[in-house]
Amino acid sequence: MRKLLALVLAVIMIASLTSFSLGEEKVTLNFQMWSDEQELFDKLIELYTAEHPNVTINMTCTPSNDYGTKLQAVVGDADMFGISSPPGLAEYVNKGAVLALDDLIAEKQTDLSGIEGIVDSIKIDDKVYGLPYKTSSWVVYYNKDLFDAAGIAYPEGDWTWEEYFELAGKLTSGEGSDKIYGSLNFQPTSMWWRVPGNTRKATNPLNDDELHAWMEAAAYCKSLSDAGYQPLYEDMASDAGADYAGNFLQGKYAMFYTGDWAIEMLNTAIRNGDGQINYDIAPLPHWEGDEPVTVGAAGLLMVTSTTKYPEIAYDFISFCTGAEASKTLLAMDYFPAWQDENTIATYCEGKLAPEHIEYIVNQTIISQVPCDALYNPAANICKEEVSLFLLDEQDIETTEENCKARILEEVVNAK
Amino acid sequence: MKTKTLGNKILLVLILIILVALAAAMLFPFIWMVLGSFKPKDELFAVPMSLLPVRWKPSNYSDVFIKIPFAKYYVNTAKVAIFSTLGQVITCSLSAYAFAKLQFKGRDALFMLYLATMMIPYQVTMIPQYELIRNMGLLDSHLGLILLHCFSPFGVFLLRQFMLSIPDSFVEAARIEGASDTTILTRIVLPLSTSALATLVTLKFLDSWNDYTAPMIMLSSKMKYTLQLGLRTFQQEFGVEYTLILAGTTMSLIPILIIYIFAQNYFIEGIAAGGVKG
Amino acid sequence: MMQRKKSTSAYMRSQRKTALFFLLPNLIGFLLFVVYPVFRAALISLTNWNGFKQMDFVGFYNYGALFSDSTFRISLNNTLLYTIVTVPLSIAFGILMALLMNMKLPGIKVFRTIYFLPQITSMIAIGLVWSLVLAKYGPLNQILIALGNTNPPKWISSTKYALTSVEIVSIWRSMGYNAIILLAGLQGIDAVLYEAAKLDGANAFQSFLHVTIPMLSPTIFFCLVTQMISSFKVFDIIIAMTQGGPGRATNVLAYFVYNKSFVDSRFGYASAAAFIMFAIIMVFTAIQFRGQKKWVNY
Repeated sequence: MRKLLALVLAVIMIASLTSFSLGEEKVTLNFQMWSDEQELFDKLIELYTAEHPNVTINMTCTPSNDYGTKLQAVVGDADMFGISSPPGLAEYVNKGAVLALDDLIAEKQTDLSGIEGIVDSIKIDDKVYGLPYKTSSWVVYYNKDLFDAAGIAYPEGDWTWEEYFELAGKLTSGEGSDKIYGSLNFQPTSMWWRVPGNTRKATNPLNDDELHAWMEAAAYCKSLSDAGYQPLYEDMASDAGADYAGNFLQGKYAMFYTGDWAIEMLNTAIRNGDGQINYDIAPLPHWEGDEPVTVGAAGLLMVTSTTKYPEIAYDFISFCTGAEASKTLLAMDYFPAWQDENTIATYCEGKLAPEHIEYIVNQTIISQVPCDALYNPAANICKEEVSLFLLDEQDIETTEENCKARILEEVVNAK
Repeated sequence: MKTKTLGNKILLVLILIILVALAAAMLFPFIWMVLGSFKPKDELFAVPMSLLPVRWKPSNYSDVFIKIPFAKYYVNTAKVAIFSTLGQVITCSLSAYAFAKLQFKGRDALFMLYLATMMIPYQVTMIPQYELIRNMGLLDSHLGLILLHCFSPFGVFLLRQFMLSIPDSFVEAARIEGASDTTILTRIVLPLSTSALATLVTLKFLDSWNDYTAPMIMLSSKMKYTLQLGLRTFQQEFGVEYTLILAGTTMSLIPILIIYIFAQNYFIEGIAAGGVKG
Repeated sequence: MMQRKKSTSAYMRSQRKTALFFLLPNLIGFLLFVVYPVFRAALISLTNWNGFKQMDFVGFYNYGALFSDSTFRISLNNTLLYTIVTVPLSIAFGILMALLMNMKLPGIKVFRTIYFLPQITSMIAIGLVWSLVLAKYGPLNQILIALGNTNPPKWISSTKYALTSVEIVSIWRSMGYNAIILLAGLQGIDAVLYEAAKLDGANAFQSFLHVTIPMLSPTIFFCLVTQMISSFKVFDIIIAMTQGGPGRATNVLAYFVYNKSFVDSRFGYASAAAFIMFAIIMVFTAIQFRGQKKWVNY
């Protein structure tokens, strides 16, 4: 009797073991993203799990403003996560929260040909810690009606910041509620004054040269206000200055520069009756004597160092950053990090507005932010000090000195 | 109240002027919010500022329902707010009674501990709290949120303070007649504290209804989100859907307003129960 | 704090038991969900925790380092200034508002509801509207110009007035909150006391001074302590209006703590700042508790 029982038990055990190894193991992965990317990744997850029915991906999307806060708490419990720019990657690599992918890339022989440039730019100590799924590209948006009314030709092709300034002056007119500004600016607590510096490849304020180029960029932005070509920074404080798309839709600003994301914002708003304007885009200007270039920042996907399923997590992120997924990104009006001839052709296909959509994809894009863990705290200091300059409370030399001193004290020496 | 003399009439007019002026100052941002929720995007920050929309856009309201599962979030938020408030009122009134009307060793020290925890900013206890909730297996659950809300020291402090002003002689008299503390609490002290209880209900309901950070950290399934969390998704990386936020907020605050108006009736009853002729 | 009753030890014992029974439901949850995280944060303040693996014990190093941190000093200063201005004013206005709300006038319920609105108006809307009100040619400066001020302040666009702007909005918002609590206190005052005062020949102001204030004092004390604590922890209004700017003009302690932990990943350092803040609030609260014997009437 006892032997029989043992036999039955043995049979049950063997049966359960084989059934376990026959089907693929069921795996659930925890994936952290921010809410802007919800629709895109819902789609990518659907495509991925259709091919891998044993994998379930639980994606959490946190409101964008607080994603950084949430990620600090939950990263240890996640298998994969996204980050909107390279400094964030460096920060999490520094903490030891990110898995180096080089072995997995070699083992799976992943094709990185379409994202090689970006991957090279985000290596840390010669290791790859993340893969890019999207990138961005800055352009100048302009209101065609205001150009027509002023009898000025649209900006097309290669141009300089000096020309932007001059054009903004010609487009400025009127008084009171009829005032038309040549250029639109942002709230003094934003960081976008630095973009003219970015086109000089000055991206990291931890380097003195680049910090200096940022100061020149800030001075350039302020000179547009001082000349009366854009509103004073003091009038743009708080959220009223942050709603740049809403402001541009008012039809009182001839030009402004921002990333490709504004196309979707403007098109949707116009479609929904949130404003009526006739706009187009032009390349981002560069400085006299420099090469034409535009800036952008890559969105990245990472595998955590604490995951139990590094291979499956890697498989998913390499799918999302590969050639196949780039078609989904294109279909959803994203600018994919994966680029080949096909991407550029498809990106512009079927898009009616703006007319010169190709400027988004056919420029040389350099990374707007360095892969440096100290970038965010340092940039924050520059933001505080430059806001004083933009509000006329501090001259540019003092601003530069303060930035240098505070970065050294609060960032470099603090670690 | 009869106001016959000229001096009293002038005083009344003066009071009315202050009442109205104060009301205007309190009302203005609210009105701007409600009217702003009917504006198209390009009008919200138009200069010069105008209060009324030029082109009314009621579709902001339907857009909120299209973009997020607003009704579901409403139910979730109500569930969390109702249970948090209940838990808070029950446990806090018990504790407050002990602090206000009972003698025991270490009472004042324990009370100071309650107060002391209020002085630590949430920014530093957030992650320890997250880890606690995770270790209890309560992440991504409404129960976790409710538990976090139930035991805040604010309610204990508020009720204790009101119960202290109830004369001890009431309590002693009942004790001599042989009433248990439970009876004293439910028959004497709580009825005399209705206005404080109504205040606590209003303020705690408001707190948990509007809480954003705890749900943001603890929840992960979209269908479990609360209203505040859902509305924040309109603040995107590169731009904010201000008009939708205003429309969503306007809809979201109706229950709080109802609770507040309802709670006011208990203020009046508070006097009646105190044995004062109206 | 309370009058001590003479009582037998058996009676005391039974009270102790009852007290435990009454305290327990809240106490268990409180120790677990409130005290434990605070205790953890205190431990973190003695380490260099970066939010992930690195967590070495560093003793009181963080506390020492904070004293040479200029941003910490500025935020401490701003927080103290903010507290000193907002607490007395929001309570004084709160009392005034509560008295108005307590009057038996037709339609007073409508006013009570209106005074509650700032509590439920979204912080985003509040920030937006107030920045428009405080704009260079906004309504407030128009009034100042009409009153003969030729150079009205630039409010949130200047380091000189940014903190004042935040204080104004904060008083505007919190006076209603205090008024609601104070109103509940007013409603609890026995009308017999007023009648007695009247019989003694007291006028309205005298009965306010000798009846209302003493009877309301426990509630005022509550508002004073809670308002002070929440002023020290001010955060939302800063995020909605100035984000600590311009420069560091409105950088407050909670904002400093937030930045150090969630932007700079220096959780140990941030926790240490929080506990310095705790020590300061504790001193202020202790002073208030000692002082209450002189004026609070239970």
